[in-house]
Amino acid sequence: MRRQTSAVLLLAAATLLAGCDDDKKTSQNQQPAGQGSAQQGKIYKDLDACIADAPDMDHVKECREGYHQAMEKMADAPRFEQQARCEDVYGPGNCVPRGSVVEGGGSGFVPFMMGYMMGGGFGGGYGRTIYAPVFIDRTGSTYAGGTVINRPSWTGGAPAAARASSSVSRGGFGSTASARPTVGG
Amino acid sequence: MQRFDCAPRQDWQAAVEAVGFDFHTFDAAPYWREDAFWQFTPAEIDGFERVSNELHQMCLAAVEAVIADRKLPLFGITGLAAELVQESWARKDPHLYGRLDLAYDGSGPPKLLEYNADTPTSLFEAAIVQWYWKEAMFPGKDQFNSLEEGLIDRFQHLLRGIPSQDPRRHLHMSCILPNLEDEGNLKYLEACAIDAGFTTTRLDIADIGWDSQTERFVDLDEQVIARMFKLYPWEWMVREEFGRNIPASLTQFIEPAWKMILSNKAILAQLWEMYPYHDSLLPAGFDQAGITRLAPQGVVRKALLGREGANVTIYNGDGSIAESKDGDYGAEGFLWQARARLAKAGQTGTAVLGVWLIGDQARGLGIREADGLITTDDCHFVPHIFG
Repeated sequence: MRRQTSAVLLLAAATLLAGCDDDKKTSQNQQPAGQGSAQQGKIYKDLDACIADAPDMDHVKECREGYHQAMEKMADAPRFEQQARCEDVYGPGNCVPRGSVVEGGGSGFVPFMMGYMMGGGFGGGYGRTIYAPVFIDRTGSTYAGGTVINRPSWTGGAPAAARASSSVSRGGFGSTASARPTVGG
Repeated sequence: MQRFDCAPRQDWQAAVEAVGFDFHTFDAAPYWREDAFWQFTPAEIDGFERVSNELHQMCLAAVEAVIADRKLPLFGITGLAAELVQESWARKDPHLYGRLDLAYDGSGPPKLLEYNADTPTSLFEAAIVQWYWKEAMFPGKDQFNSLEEGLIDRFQHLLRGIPSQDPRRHLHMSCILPNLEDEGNLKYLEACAIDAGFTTTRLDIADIGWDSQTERFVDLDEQVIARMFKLYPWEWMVREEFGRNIPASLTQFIEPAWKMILSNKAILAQLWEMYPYHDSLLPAGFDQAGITRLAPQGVVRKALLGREGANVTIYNGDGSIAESKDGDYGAEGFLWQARARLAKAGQTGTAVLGVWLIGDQARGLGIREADGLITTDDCHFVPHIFG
């Protein structure tokens, strides 16, 4: 049997495209629910994670309010003209069109909101509470409210990128290739 | 076997780009050429298929013998590399694909020039681009090409018996990014892997991470790399910084490390020793005088780890140089092989037949033409039909 049908090829191409979409969904869904108290406050992956951690209805309300305020602060998120430049900093697949998260956001890209921080945590007092989106760059550094949060604690595990730790090193493969255009034979 | 000139499709660039071929032209010169094509008889194609299957089986037997007879040092494979080769062979780590390069000029049996068993490219051209060309130009003719079925089948084989949540169902795919040609080959293999049921992650070889705490290779999301297809030579990996981490990593590599034996030109000497005067083998060895005596037509000197025609010298029967390419290889040693008769392509050019092995089966043919005698990275891919 030497013939191949073009249907098979088209199927593969379609799967490749679909596969990419699936990957993206998976990577977002797989971020485990997290809560925890860093010095700066509590960080939650999303609204559901905050509600799951709330001891009563007042705190549920605080979760919602904090989430909406953090979303509003996406307007202050670092903005990049090109998706690739954004991904250079925050990692592949971790950037979204600004218009999709900021009302009237126009062009450009911003990092995906990996979580949100409630400064002071529950009962911290409204006056002192900071609500801010949390971003994690590809080195694992975590940012909230414009400052770096070192090693925030995420109960139940952090989003994948947040686990970047000092035990991982990169660049140990590929050095031979630098002088050569292609590896083919 | 016959080469015909023909008119390219008027919109050939658009036609090949429509099937996803974005590296058809390099430095303003076409790499894909459809101003010519090759036509074979069904008997010739049957012959290529049979010979390639046989050569592949001979190669597997040669791997076994090289390891059993402790000949790895003759291949320059020592230390870490030898450890990886032996372990991967003992575990029977599965392989995916390879390309046997054959010399054939229409008379006599095809002869093995070498086996690109570790990082072969031009797969996408052979599997897809030339198929669509044939469908457009010669829909009534056939082509030696069941590459895509073969690849999907082989990837399914790699998934067999692996439970649904097992990380080995996820394939990390790595090459040097960005690189149009390598990436084109990688993306095509990725599409086939996904079709077979793998999930995949593509990453630059330089982005592979090593977690010293867990002793695993990880991707940019710090997900463990359980299985990795790498379009990157084994002999480079083993001498780079992370090479020493491979034994502890538990990562299963495709191609496996034992392919280092087959992609090394020293395999040609081993084959000639095991199967002397086989119809499809050229005399080959490390002894220049010995091979020269068997090859009045001339000999070829090849660097053991040379790639894309680099560090190859072709000698005429009188000892003068017919053609020579320099390059970065050769410190590892050279092999001598009797000169083969190559098919002529145009006034000065030659053609080499690349028969693709998917798993252990010959599945397709891709023809590359050189402007001179040595096929390098300046070669052209030219389509074929048969019947």
